[in-house]
Amino acid sequence: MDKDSQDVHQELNKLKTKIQEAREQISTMPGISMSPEQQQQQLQNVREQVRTKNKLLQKYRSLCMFDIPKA
Amino acid sequence: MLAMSRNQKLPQPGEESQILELLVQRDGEFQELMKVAQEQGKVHQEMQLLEKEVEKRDSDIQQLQKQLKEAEHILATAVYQAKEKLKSIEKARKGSISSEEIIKYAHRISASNAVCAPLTWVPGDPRRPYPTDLEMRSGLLGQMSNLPTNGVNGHLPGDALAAGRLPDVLTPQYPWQSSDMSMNMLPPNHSNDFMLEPPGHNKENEDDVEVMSTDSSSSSSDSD
Repeated sequence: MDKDSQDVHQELNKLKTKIQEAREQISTMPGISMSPEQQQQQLQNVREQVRTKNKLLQKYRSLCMFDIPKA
Repeated sequence: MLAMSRNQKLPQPGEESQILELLVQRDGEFQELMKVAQEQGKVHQEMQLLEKEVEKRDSDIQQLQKQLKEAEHILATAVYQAKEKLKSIEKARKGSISSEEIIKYAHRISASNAVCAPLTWVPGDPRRPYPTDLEMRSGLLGQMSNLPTNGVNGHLPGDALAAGRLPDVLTPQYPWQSSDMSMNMLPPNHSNDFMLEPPGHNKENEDDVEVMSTDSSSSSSDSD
């Protein structure tokens, strides 16, 4: 019985150590500082920014500033 | 006492299985959360790529904006210079002067050794370079300062008349010279003496013109 109890304690200690390691690893995982919904919202915002800036660049590059009006 | 405390610490027979079930349940929840965390990690990576894209677009836009500013500056300068030229053209049209007359006048000035003394000049030679005192008095500066027209002192116009060139310079009337002014500037007793033969017909003066042309061309090349 004592031997079993010691084994259980040992296993429990191992489990605690693993849980602690898992906590430390989770704290270093990227992208979990916000909820998935907030993250999706932010992703949409960034995509929208890229789209807008692409449009602006296309507009500037295709802009002909020397249109000569026909008399 | 020791047996009692051990009995208190030991779980009940059904409690072990409950704890194990709880652990398994927690493990399942943890696995689910780990999947979500991995998904969020992928989304985070995608967001970072998009943010880099946004930064690149920003720098492109700023570069383009800078180029547009430079172009605007260049165009504004060009427009300003063009307007200034148009003003000059308009001004020149209003007081238009024939280029032939200017060239003719330049030849006359050259004939009177305008820039430097002739090669054959020696002390005692009455020829003087342009402008002479009388010519200065007949110009706008002389008019502004109201210099006396008669009683010309010094070697002019007597020396210039002796050289036989000055009257030729002053005789023709050019559009930029007011006729009344030039006439008023001349000594009254010399008005008839100015009707001399133009120096352009003189062989000696032709040589002078050549010398002067060489000098002027060299000076113009120096200025360039």
